[in-house]
Amino acid sequence: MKQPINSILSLAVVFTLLLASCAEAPKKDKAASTESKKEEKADETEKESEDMMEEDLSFMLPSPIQIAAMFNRAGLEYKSGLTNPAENISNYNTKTAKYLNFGVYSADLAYTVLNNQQQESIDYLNAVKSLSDDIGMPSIFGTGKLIKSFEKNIDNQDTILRILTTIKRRTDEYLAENSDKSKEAVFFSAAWVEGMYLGANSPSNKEKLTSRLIEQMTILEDILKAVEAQKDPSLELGFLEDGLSKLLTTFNNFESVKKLSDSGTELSSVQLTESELAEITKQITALRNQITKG
Amino acid sequence: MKKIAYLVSIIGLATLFMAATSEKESCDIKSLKKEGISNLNPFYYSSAKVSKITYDYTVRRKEIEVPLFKGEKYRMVFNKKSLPKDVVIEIYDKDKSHSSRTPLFSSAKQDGNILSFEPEKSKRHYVNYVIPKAEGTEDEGCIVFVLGYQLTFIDTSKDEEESEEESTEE
Repeated sequence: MKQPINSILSLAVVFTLLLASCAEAPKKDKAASTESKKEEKADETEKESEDMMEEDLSFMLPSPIQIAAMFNRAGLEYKSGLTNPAENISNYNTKTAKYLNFGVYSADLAYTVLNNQQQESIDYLNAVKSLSDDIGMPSIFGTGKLIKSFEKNIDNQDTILRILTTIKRRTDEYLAENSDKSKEAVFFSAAWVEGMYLGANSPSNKEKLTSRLIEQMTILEDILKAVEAQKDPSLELGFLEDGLSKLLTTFNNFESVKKLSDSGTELSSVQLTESELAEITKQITALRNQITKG
Repeated sequence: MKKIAYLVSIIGLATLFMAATSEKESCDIKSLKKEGISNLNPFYYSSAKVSKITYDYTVRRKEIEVPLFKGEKYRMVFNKKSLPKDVVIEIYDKDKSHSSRTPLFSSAKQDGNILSFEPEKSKRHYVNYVIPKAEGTEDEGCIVFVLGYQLTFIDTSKDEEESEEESTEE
């Protein structure tokens, strides 16, 4: 009888000690830490930078609303029929399609709001809400007051944009609270593709818009990394990764981009030829159509 | 025998629970973020990043790449309230691979737990957290970084009260 009791007690002590050490100890084990402390004393005279352990680089994705606003300010005119029709929502039956088109409709919503298309804005807000419910994020719209307020203030662009910002903030909060932060990359990448599609296919002043499009291309590498890093195996994002990767390779292989990269100049100041711009537009349109077909 | 096994299970579960909740207690992300966002006004919320800070036996550096677009205005807000030991925030024009990068901001000589920075030029910025060495056992902490942008074509002086109501309704 004594032996099992002793075994259990010993196990309990070991278990508790193990947990306590896990909770308190910084990353290294005790032996390593003692050694490390000795080294520290010896190295105290050395410059701080010499014993810095560099960590991974991370990045912040911009707001899709801001991207839409920048295009708008660059002269992006509204073109009827260019956005993804709100009624297409019935085609989105898979988890992947719902996630991606949540991003697409968010970009369309910002585009219609910024172009004062009131009824379409309401339709897209309802589409975004419907998909957020399906995805399991009903909390981002709260009790419904947000939608009522949106409809009430539809002719006040600043209030509407602040409501969109609230939706974006709540989405971020939801993802953070549910340890689902990597999904932000899925929403954002689809919103980015839609924003680029609207910009590239606009009949507006090409010169101004093109410089904004190129500027957006400079964040593509980060977007691709973020999509590749997302951890949900049930999302089928292979086509998106391939499309973004192909777009990045195409852009980086343009002569004008290569020259600038070699000289260390900012990529945003690159000038694309008409054929280069046409190639970018073609690839973005193909990827966007693949996303929106569901 | 059964009683002992029962007691051991309770102790184990309690310890597990304490270990699991210790981080949450030290880092109330929601309220830290809310406080950061309230310092953005009149800038619009763009995005936020929560960085978990652990202290090691060497000084460490975490870097966050922040793309900022030409002609736009931005404000960066950092909330350091949940740090058991101060972390220096540095902002550069280039990433860590460039030895000649220019420092644009440092929190080294600044007081307060909430700091803000408005870049003069809107181009890619690199935020660095310089995490000091551990001295004995240090708890973990976190820094919340909130980025705001200004829609320069919109008069933001209107509707601030109304929009605040919108943002707080649940």
